[in-house]
Amino acid sequence: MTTHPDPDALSAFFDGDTAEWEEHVEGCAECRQRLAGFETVRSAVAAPVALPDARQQQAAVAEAMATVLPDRQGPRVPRWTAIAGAGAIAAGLVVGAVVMTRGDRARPTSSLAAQAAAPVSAHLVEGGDLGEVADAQVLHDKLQPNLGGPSSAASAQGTAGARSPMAATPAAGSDTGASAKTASGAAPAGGTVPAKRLAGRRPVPCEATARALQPGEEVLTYVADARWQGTPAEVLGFSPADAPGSGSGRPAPTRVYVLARSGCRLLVFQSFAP
Amino acid sequence: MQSARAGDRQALDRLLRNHYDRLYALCRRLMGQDADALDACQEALITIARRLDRFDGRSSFATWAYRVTTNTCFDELRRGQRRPMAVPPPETASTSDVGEGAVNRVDVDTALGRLPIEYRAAVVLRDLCGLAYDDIAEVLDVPIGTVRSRIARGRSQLVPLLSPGDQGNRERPFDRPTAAP
Repeated sequence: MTTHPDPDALSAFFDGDTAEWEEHVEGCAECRQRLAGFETVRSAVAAPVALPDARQQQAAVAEAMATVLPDRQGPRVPRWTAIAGAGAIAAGLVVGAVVMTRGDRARPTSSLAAQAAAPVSAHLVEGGDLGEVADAQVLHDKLQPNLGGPSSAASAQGTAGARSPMAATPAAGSDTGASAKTASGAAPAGGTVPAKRLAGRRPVPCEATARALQPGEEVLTYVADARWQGTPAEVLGFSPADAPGSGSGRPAPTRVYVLARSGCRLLVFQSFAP
Repeated sequence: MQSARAGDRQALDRLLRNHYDRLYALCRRLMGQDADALDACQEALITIARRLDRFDGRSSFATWAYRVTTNTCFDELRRGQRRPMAVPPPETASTSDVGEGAVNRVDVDTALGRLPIEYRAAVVLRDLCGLAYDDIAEVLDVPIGTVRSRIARGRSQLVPLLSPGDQGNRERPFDRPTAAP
């Protein structure tokens, strides 16, 4: 009568962690069958996992990067300076939280930090709540009034005709249901201004993620909330820095991203031609 | 790695990108669903980026990253009290096609979902990630003997689930030493 290895020992033998049972296994059909079972498990567990597409991976890394403050680079600062800086940031966040009228959403401080350092259009449009968006066509229909054509752009805002294609105030009676408004009425005509000049704008947690998807130096021109097929989401529009409203007045497409509010996963992307 | 720890953002970016695939794969097997895996992997990357300066180098970075990721998955599973479920059919999933390897994915996920999370993690860390027992012990913060036991028990529970028609194993769980004639 021969004693089989116990499950732990046979499993360890399978992993090459021990050679103690080699002779037994060679002559034992039952143990070899169990080893074959372990091999089946390994093959199944180790089968390739379908990876997220490149955009999702890029967004995930960008979101993680956004949580790391830029001042980790370069020479270290004295501890008291870091503490004072952290205190100032904390104070700013407290003030921001008090001012914020949309206090029902968790806002990562990392996104706030990234947002503070990012350029936005002088005519950033707060699109409000777009409500339920079932598909790309509905999204297009709801955003189209805000995209504005050259004529509506010229008539809707007195900024010497230079404006973002997404900066137009929706025409009265539009079907968007959103009350779009510019974030800074005092901004210089047609210019891109540092974010700090728009210090009053609301935080946009997914902004850093969306920015990471930009091919160039686009500026944020539109922000709204929506529910994409039932998922609470943020809608962000970006236009090239030299687009109308932020530079030369040359028409350029606006890139619109819908990202899940939780985790900032990219749900859909659309490019709107002017 | 050293550059990333020292605060070089480009190095950190490269580090995260280089490890993304394997960390996501771990999340995917532990969480059981694409969406949950995406969320867990996102959280893990954030934790890695934030805590990289605490990595002391006693283990490899990969082992440390696996530990962070595994703990993140445990937290997510416990917080949401979610059980892994079968994923949508491949044609509806928003993931890239990886060929035949994805065919048996649902079966694997369902089978893994029936294991206690501790067993599931041990098996996945060994059979998917290829970690040695001592590395798994470090990732899970348990003795090596416990790792051996969890892997063995996990595999023994998975064999009948992943071996269609193997009723012999299903009827007789392989959970204790047996005597051969």
